[in-house]
Amino acid sequence: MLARLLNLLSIKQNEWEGVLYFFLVLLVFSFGASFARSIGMALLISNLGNDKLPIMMIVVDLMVMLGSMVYAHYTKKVSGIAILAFFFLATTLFTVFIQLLMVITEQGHIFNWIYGLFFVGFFFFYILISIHVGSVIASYFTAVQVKRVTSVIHTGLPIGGALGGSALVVLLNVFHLAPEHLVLVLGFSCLGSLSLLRLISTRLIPVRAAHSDLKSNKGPLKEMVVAFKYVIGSKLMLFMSLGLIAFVIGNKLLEYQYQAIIYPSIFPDITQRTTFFATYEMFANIAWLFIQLFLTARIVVSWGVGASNLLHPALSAIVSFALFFYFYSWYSPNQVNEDTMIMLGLAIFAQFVNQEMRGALRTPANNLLFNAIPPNQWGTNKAFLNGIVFPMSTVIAGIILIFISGTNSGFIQYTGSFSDGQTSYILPFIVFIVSILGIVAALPQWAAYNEGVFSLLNRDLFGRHADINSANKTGSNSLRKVIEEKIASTDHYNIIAALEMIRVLRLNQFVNQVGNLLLKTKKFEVQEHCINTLAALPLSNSNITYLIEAMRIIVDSTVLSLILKKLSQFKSVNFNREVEKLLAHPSPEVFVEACLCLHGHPQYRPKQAIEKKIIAKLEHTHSPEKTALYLYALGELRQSRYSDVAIPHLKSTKPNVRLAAFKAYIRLLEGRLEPHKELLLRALKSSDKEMKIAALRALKECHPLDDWTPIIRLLGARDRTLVNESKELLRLNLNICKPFLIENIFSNTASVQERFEILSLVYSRLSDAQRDRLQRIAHNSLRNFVRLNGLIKIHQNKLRFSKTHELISKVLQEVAENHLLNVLTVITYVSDQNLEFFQRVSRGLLSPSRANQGNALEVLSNAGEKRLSGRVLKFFDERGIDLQGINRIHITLFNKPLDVNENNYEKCLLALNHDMLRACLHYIQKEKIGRLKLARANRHVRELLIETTVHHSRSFY
Amino acid sequence: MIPLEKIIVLNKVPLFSMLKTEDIHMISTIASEEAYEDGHVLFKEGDVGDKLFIVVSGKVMILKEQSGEQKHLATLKENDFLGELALFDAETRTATAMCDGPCTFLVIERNDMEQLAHEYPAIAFGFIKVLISRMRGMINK
Repeated sequence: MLARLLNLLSIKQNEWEGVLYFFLVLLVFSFGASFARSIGMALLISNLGNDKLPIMMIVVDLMVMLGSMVYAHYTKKVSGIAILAFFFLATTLFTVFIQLLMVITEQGHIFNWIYGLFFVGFFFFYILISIHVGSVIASYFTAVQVKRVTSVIHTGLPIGGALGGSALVVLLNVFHLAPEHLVLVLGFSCLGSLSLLRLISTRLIPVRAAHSDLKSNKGPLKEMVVAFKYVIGSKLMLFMSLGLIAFVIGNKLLEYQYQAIIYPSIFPDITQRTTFFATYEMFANIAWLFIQLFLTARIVVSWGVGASNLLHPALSAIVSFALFFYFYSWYSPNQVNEDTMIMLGLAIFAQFVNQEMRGALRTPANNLLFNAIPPNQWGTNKAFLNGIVFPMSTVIAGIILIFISGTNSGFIQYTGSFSDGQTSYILPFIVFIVSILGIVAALPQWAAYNEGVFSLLNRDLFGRHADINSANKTGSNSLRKVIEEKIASTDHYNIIAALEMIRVLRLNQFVNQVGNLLLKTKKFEVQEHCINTLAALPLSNSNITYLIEAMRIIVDSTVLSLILKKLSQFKSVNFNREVEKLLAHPSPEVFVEACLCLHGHPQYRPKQAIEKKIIAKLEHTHSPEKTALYLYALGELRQSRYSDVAIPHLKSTKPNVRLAAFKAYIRLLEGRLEPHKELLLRALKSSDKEMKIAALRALKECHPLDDWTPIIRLLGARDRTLVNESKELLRLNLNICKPFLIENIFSNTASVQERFEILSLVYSRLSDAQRDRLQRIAHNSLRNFVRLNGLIKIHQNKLRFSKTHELISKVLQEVAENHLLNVLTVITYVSDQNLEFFQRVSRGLLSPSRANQGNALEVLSNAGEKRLSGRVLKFFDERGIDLQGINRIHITLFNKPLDVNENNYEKCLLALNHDMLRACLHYIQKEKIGRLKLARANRHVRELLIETTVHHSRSFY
Repeated sequence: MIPLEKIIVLNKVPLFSMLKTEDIHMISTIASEEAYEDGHVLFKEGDVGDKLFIVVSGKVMILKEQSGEQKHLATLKENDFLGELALFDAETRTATAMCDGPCTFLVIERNDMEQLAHEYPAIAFGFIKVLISRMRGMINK
């Protein structure tokens, strides 16, 4: 029964406890709040008059503004649940105090301000609790869970409201209690919520902590400034603020329309009006409940958060237009009796949109938008929106109201600019306009939400907290000023930053500063950056002069060789005499660069002499480092006649010499490498990645290969440069190697990375049939992923005696992850995403943090591919904690039970065909019978089980 | 010790436990097995560290000189490791390590580790992750 109910409400088994507790908190609180709202409004209007309503609204929001500042300060220091508990406790104390005052002053009407105080105080706490409770709920669920559970939890509000409304009607009409005597009900409901919070804090653990581990020392005002900077910098928050302004103005004006204009004219009597409010609360809350239960979650899940956020302003526009149309076209004060039913219907519709639809649609959608900003920013941003933007908008709304209808609140006396008749259609017209503005502001929020959730999936390895303080500190300073400041700094990191700016932007006006810095500084890093910068600037006498001057005075051989390397780029200036002097330099690096600089210069004639010098040095050195250096120089000569000189060094036992010889050989034979293709292909099998990279680059000059397998295998390499070089080569020959690539996509031996990289090359060229086949592979991978999770659960209780137990767990986990990555690869391409999406989502899903998992699932659900993503989502949502749980998920996803169990466990392990797993199983056998049986083990398994000295042969020639 | 046993031991060491089995396999190729008798001093306080020791069997006493006397700080046993910082820098040892009975170790030298991390950056990233998580743990304490 419970399972069916949870299924109907889209709640997973593991979520129901949290959902139930938070639902009860809202229900109990809402019960009391519905009493206080009806009583507060009725008592205020009847005791102080409806002209006080705008002023009261302003006072409430000013109070909220101040309260929010303090609230923002504490959200970073205290846990969300503790703050909520404090609000409930404070509300309880406040109600007790007000109830006492009301009882004491019941006889006379001297202290009418108590009704104002109650109204202001109640709404103050009510707003703060409403602001905060969403963050508390969100912190106990992941981004995806909260999308499903938030609407169910929030049904507590209408149910509580309906129950409260019904109870109030009975108490007023059956027991004839005066509204003034029922204030304390709110206090009791807050106490009830408080005890539920205690239960939550002992039984549930938050998934996303909204308060920071590292305590903030900022004051309340500073917190607001920080939030303001964040809002300005965040597209989502900026448009949320604009949307909120539009919403609040519309909401307040609409509220005035039905509370101060329509209802008093229909229900002049206070008890009659309170009864109406209570009846309204009862029915409206039931309607809210149904919308919240059966509509909200479905809308949010199927439309997405961004689109759902458009609904409320749209409804507001419709109702305000209806009111405007009615009052402008038909209504006149003399027709009140005839039009009562239409007017009442419109007022109820307006109130329902303003109040209940706000709770059923706007609040959930708005709370979910916060998923797109870091949890440590929730508190301050909510406080800013509700504490600054909200009250500011209320003040604007109040001013508009006072301007239109006037007020007589003691200290402010103003006769409105319009008559009552005019007010009744001007107000809805303004609401209509701001509702349209609200729709316009909701559109960019939609896009910003999707971008925000994606960016929350950390690309960085170690997480990163938004540091908005450091952003844009330069303000309006010009670039020139910034560079000048940095270059004059004593901190060499600042100097390097300035040099990099000059280099990248090629700012020639700084040539003298850079040149002088080069001549003056002793710091190698600065010298290096100065040289690179001078070389990058447009050719002029100045930069050449500075480089030559530096060559004369600098003695450091590394710097000298760097200068020579850069000078060799300037072919049109003759500085050969200066360079020739360095041929006698004791440093081999300087000698080599001087040789190359001269050899490459068009005006230098005795090139053969240079070549002979290099060969002589190469022949006479015994140092591997120097040999490698001279081989490099030899290669740079690019004279094929010297290729024989490099060949003997290809067999060297020193890896650096072999690499240098190989690179030199390629350089010397540049353009004539086709006959040497075999050598290049052999180099691809080398353990040296530099060698492979050099070979791949050389292969680009050759004719297409007959067999592309060695290149395709390199797509799975762990070194990115190697992968990119292989891809580049394949891309150049895509028309020829495409069949090989496609064959490899569907091969069982292709690694996840290989498949991903191949798809990046050929996905757009796949036929529909091939794409379908790819989807089937992903489907099988997902099935294997679920099966492996089942196997992991079985393994937890198996072979615990064996030393291999933990290792087997880890291997199984890795194999399962690989299957999941295969699924994500296909989702990435089907939904037209990129490597960044794949990396972020896969890291998020494989992260141990549930918050990260939730964010990844949310990004996945917005990606556009529904079939596979939906299944992945279901798997992670269900979080099968035992074999039965995994089996249930398997049945849900694939309509059949899991085919792994305790009896076929070992057979399943063997079927995975994983060398380390097989070695573990052999080892377990040894643990049982005391000896290894390796008759049927392959070479890799044997290597893991037999004590050998591993030699890595690096020679390939 | 066969390669699989080395992998099993390395997998239990927190420093390597976050690495993939493939990476641990690579590390096992540079880990050598060394056995010492009771009383053998692995390193002395003040020595320059260049090796990581993983206790495969036996016990190791960690001693520190205080007022001219060797004060016993801790005893390490199977799967504990000592000198992990030696894999990243060449600073001096902060205490003395001595075998308390016959001991077997897996030993990894810094040069080999550097070479491996250079060739397989994923291994270096794995270490950085472990060190960062330790640092976070220390900050939160």
